[in-house]
Amino acid sequence: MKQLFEQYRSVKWILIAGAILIGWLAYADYTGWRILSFNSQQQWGASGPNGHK
Amino acid sequence: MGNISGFYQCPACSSPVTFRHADTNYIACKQCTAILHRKDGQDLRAVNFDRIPDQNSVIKTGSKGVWEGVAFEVLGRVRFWMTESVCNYWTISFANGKLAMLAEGYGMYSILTPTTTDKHVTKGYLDGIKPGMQQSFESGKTHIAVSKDEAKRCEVEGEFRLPGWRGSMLFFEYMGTDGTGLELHLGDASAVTAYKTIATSHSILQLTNTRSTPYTDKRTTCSICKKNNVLKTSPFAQSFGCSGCKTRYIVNSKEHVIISGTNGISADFDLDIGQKANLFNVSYELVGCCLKEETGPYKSQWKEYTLYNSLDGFAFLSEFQGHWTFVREQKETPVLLKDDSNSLEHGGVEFHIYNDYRFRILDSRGEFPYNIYDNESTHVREFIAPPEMWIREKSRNEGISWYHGSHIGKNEIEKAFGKTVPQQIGIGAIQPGGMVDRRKLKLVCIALVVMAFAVHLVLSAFMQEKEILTKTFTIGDTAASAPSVTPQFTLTKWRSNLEFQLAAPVQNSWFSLDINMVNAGTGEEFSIDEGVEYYSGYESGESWAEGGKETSTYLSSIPAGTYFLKLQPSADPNRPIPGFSLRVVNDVPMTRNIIIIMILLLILPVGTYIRSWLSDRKRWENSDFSPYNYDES
Repeated sequence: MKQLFEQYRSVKWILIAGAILIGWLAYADYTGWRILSFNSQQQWGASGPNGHK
Repeated sequence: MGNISGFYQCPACSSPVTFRHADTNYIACKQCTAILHRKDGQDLRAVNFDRIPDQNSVIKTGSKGVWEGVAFEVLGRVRFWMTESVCNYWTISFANGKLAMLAEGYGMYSILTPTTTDKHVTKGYLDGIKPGMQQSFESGKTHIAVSKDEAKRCEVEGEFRLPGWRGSMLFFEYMGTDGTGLELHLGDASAVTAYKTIATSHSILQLTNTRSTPYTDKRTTCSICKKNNVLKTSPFAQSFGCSGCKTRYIVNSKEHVIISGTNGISADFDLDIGQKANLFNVSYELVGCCLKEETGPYKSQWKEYTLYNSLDGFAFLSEFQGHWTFVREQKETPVLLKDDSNSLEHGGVEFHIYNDYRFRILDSRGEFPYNIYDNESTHVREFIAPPEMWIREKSRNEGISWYHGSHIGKNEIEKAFGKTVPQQIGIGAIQPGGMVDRRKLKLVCIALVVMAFAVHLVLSAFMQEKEILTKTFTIGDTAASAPSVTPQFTLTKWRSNLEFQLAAPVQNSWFSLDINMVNAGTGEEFSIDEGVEYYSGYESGESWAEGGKETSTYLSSIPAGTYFLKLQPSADPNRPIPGFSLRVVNDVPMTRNIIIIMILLLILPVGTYIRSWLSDRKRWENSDFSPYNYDES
């Protein structure tokens, strides 16, 4: 395993970035989050606006 | 030779002599200067050997170590003076009773265990062997001749095994295609001894009871300028340049120094002899420097610095246009079946030919572990896989030598030596900047894309896609009607989305719907507005249309709870519509997410690939073997 890690050391940042993006995709798909959505969805709580997504 | 250890009497001084191992055949008498030889069934006989006059080695008789889990002790050694090198063959006795050799010199270590060959090897079979030739000593295995050398002088100490010595010995070194080493020692015509060789290191051997101050300086006075030169790496120093004048010297096997010409020019070296530096966790002293020039049409010049550490031996720093390479000779090397191979594979990495040249020395100072002044016929081929390289040197005298090079940054050199060194020009042969293995990059990209798709497909398969509402609403003929309120519905998933599919029969008009989704329990509201517009006509003989009558929008990441919708429609007051239809679906898959992630996933690898390609293209500009075409630029 260590040897495999050493072999792919030169592309470690791509692997790390890829893992983060796939994690983001999994979270977004599971929660119904539209990634990079710029529509006008607004959220209002009982005490006022909570922001928008 | 007897099978038991024996007690004898020294024929020179009558002192008792005890052999510790049954398979050794020589011993140095501890009481007098005699070297004694034992043969099967015969008494000891004094023979003519030189005793090692200095102690120049880290290892000594009595040193201990471990090899493949078995402890050993050093019994003695033979120091052979080869054509252009010196090598110690230590006789080692293992705790399990076996005997082997530990070859040591220049910081390289190999264990030699006696072996047999399938073929009966004779002197005639070995005559005419040249480095690079292929032979077979075991069925199904090809051996490549690495070197052929001769020792005409040896010195000894302690108790040792030396079969077949008759005043000289030939050494044949082979590398099998399976990476195993074979060494043949040919003394007298009838005695060819074969050894299986395995390269190792002092750390693997776990050497103990070694010499703490192993080396003593050797002083020699220049016959031209009378300057006193101090050789710190004797007996390994085989040539040196006088520190006072331009005279070149070589050291022969009798340790005499002989003038070998003069340096042509006087170069400015950036690092100084005597400087100490820690590189790759080894403390080195700089003992020599030289300026080399390629003898081909390009006349490229580079500086090479010789470093020395008593345990790790020699290393070299090569500097070309501000790019530094740390180089060490290796015994565990690639195997090339053909001299003109343009690539090689080692350790799972493919190396490609970058340079092919011969060189000469323009200037030299300090000492060198080989005769650097007779290497103009040495054929050098460099194979690169940045940040590493393999250098293959093939010479008439020394056979084939392999050196492994690693890129070392300018900053690291400056930090290690405390000196400013020249700025870099262009891209170095093994400079890693921007360089990645593009094959690995492609593999990683494919793996990431497949994983992203798999994650998306699996999660999409478990989406509920539950229809919340499908209804057609009627609206009055006013622009803004009263809001409609839907029955309550429940979202059961922790967080989920809702898709609103809106359709309205607009014709050259617009329609807009404000959607408020209210949590019946908490009063929390999520709102969004969406509209449709559709315009069409006939103009200049052509019909046109823009917009649409259907659209969809989403509410993202809505918490679980019971909700109802408040819908506030508004339409073009000049062209009212009868109504609109709305379909609401909860927890729908979003293809858009995977598309965006794919784009983001590929940005970094594609950028890295382009940067690597440009950098690599520039790197290969200095090579005759470039895989790139530069004609169009």
